[in-house]
Amino acid sequence: MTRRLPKKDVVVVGLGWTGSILAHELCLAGLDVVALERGPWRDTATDFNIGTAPDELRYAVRQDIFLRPAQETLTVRNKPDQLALPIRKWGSFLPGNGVGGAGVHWNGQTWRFLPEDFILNSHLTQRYGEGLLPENHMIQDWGVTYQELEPYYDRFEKIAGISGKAGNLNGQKQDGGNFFEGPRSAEYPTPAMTQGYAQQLFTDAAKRMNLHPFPRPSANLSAAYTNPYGMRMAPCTYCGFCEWFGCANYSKSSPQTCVLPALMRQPNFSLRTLAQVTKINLTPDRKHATGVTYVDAQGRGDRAAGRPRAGLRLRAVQRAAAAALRHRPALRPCHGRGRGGQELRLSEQRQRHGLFRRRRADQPLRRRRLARRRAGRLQRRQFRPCAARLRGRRLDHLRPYQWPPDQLPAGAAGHAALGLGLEEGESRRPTTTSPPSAPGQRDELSRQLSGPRSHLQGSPRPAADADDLRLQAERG
Amino acid sequence: VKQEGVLPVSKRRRLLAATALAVLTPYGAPIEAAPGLPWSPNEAYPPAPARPGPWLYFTAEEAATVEAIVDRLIPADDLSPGGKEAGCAVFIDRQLTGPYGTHEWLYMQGPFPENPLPSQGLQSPLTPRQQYRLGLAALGEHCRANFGGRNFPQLGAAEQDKVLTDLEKGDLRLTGFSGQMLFNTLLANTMEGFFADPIYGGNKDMCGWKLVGFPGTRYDFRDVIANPNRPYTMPPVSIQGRPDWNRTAG
Repeated sequence: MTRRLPKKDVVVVGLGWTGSILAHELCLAGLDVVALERGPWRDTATDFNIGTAPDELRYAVRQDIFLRPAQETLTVRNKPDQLALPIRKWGSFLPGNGVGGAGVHWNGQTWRFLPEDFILNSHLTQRYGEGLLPENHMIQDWGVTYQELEPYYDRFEKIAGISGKAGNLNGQKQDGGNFFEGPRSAEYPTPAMTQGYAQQLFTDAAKRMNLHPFPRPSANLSAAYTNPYGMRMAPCTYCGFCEWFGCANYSKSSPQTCVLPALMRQPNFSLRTLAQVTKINLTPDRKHATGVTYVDAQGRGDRAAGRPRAGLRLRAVQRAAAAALRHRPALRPCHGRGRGGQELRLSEQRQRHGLFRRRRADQPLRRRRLARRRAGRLQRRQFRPCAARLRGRRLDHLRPYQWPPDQLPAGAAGHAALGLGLEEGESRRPTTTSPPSAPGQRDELSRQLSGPRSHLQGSPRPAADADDLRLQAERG
Repeated sequence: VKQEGVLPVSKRRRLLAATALAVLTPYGAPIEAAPGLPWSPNEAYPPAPARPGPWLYFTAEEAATVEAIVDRLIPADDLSPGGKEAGCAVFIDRQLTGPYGTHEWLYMQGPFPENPLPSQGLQSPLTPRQQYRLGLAALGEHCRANFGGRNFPQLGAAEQDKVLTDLEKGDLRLTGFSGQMLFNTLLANTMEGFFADPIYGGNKDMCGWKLVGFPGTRYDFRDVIANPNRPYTMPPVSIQGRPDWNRTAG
């Protein structure tokens, strides 16, 4: 039985980063907002208690706080001739569930896109000529430029308190920051995090080669901070339980730490949890949304209706991208119809594990890192009898399909030609290469650092092999 | 355009949407909050500790086999106790009685095609409980047929290693069950048991953490970051603390 709920100005579907900031800004603008969230309520003190939050089995392995695929999942295939099958357990990407969404368990790397990313089609055409991109490619300009978005990047960084070092302030290069970034109007709200010992070694080596290493911008805060909404955050304690975990310490930027306490106090805001939206209702001409239909925990159908107002006919219905693919009528027609998800790329990240044999003093720290980052992977010398059996094994992570070079789809070829994409899930893949010996280590590092560093490599690089040592400008 | 072998979009949508109705209830009551934080003092959701006691899922025979296997995967040596003493079998037994045992949180409806791609991850309809029950039965049958009526625990260490190695490589074909699946599940769960927090029944006395120098649930490492390249000497701590903390009582 469908109930009709009182009309509101705005229905926000999904109360993660985007939903919570949007809801808060709309409330501040005086609109009545209701948020519908498919998962449960979550807050730091209750759900990420410091006594129980650092639990690798519960959160990283059993995936307690991610969207449970039993509730909702996706079907996936890597090529059109494959059978699309449901993702039964998350692997390459981890959708959030509950208030805070994936902003609860994200890692906190907070890059801006480069100015060229917004005008990629014209940038590439202008720089390399018409012939570079294959026919029917999906690369296009975004219709919004970096310069237009810069104030909003800045605003978000201030809301989240991002820690980092600017490399380009209003066009002026800054020592110690990322020279390659677009011009920033302001320094990061908090200084970059203290770099660990391994990072220090790397930084020193890179500097000796006249390179410009810089700390990654992070949503893990280096210092106490109060954001524009009045939310107070504490300095990070470097515990390492970041991605896959909720932060118990109020140190990782999330809707919980940065927005929700302010939002929940807004008199014109209300929230319904365990409310799974199944449909966006449209006007007869299908040009505007009038509200949504959702199912609550008792299986009742409810309709949260919007109140049509002059100039605002629920254009602000906001939803996660994956769900949006199933509700195309609500979206503006876009280039390349029916290819939703084809260009899905996950965060690309390059990792290289090395063993510094001559640095013995740091062994316990190194061991701890190994234990944490290679959860479940055991060292040969510790388990001699069954070493072969144990090394490099991994749980049932969904691995990315690796395209044979001659079968690259149009869009992927473009990405591969740029040295972008196709490495989805790489950061979670086990690295089973044996560590280079100490003298070789240095040579190898020099070779890598003096090799071609441009991310415009020119040749397709389809396989995301752990052996690919090239150090690239990392993209979070 | 209709693709061969691909469910029509509408069918797929129905398939996925159908589950949304049924499974929205594992989180307790929904919240309809406005305005104010829906929060109660002293509320938290700790994990349920594994209690000592009889096997909760395994039969005695299954338990003996699992104990023998975890002790071959992680044999006792001068660095650490073996898998059995570390509690790996208890850990697996307790896990099988929780949501993991039935894959309660995972998508477990069809279709289950015969030959999914490795890149499509978990695609078996068998829950971990079923994998252990069927897999261990098939393994026992194989051992009795090939080793003169003896079960796995009665085999010598070399014979056990041979069986496990063949299982892993897929050389050993069990009747009605994938030996590789059994091996992979056992291996993954054994490692989990050896390294997960002791609250779940394994990693006894934090032996796995002591072995690799993992500090456990400690969370403040600012002093470590401030003093790079120094040995880390603090003992590990689990969710339930450390044994030392309890000895002074009484």
